[in-house]
Amino acid sequence: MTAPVHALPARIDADADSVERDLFKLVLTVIELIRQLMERQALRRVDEGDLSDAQVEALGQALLRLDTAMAELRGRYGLTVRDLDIDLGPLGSLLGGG
Amino acid sequence: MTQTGSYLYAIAAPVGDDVLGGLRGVADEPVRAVRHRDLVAVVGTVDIGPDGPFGEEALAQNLSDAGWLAAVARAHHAVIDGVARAVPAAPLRLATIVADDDGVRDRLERWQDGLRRTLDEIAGHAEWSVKVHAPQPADPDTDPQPAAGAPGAGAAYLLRRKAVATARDDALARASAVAGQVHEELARHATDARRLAVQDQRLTGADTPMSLNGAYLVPVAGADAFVATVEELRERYPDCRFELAGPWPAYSFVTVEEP
Repeated sequence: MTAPVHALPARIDADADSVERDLFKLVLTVIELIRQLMERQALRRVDEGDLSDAQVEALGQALLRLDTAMAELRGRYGLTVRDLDIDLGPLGSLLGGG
Repeated sequence: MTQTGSYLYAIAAPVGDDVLGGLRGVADEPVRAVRHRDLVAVVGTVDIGPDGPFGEEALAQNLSDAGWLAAVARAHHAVIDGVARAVPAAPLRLATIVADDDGVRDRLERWQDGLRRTLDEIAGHAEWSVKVHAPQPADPDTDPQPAAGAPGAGAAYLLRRKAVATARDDALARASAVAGQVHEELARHATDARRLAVQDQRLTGADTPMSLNGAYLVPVAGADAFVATVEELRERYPDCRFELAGPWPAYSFVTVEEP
């Protein structure tokens, strides 16, 4: 009975700064997703116990560096991990608060 | 020329003009009763012309304007609430508009049998909402951590991440168990009970996810006992956050969908 509600605003703000920030944010979202997947995989490998202590240490160091680098990049635009999340509707959220 | 339509608020058992007289609708219009057999539709007349706020195009735009929507939803609820306090009433969805009162009677005729039965069922009942939010995950130690490169920092980092993940999983598992127990207990005090989809965390603005969004159809006479039960549960599960709201019209049990 009613027409579909238009989800897009009547005008799209194409201001250069906000475009750059949004693009940066999207890139960070993708990196954060991959980082979380890697971390989960690493924890699983450690749980399985088939890694040597040196391997565990190296894996941890790599993930720690990645985490530190991500925090610094987020800080540039004042973003939090939660800001990077994307709502996938019925599927929940992309990053799932990890 | 102004074009008008009939905005439907609720279908109810016959209701006196003294109840409707004090109510104002979504366009601040007076509301009236359209009778058909032993049901009454509570309606208001709104402007559905191309320049009016309820014209097809304007409405589509207005519905995506959060401020407008909130004001209309409040007015819509106020009318339904006013009617439901007096007689059993089945609310309609926001912005259900038909061409004229003949259209209203057509719908009453079509809904007659099902609605009559439902209104009898909800007579003397009100809806209460109970929401439960998951506990905060236990905080793993927050001591300063060695920076990358320091010996042992890698293994320590993995251990820490593991503790965080475990604490989060534990909190969620506990929240889901509590939600099940709370719902079961409350359902015993209600005539009917439903678990609605939990709301997204960004909508609720809460720190932790919602684990129960329950709707309970409670007899008016049992309302005090129901509220007391909720308080009891709140004390039994002090780490979870409870939200109790009501009494409402029975939105979750009888809302009429436009077929």
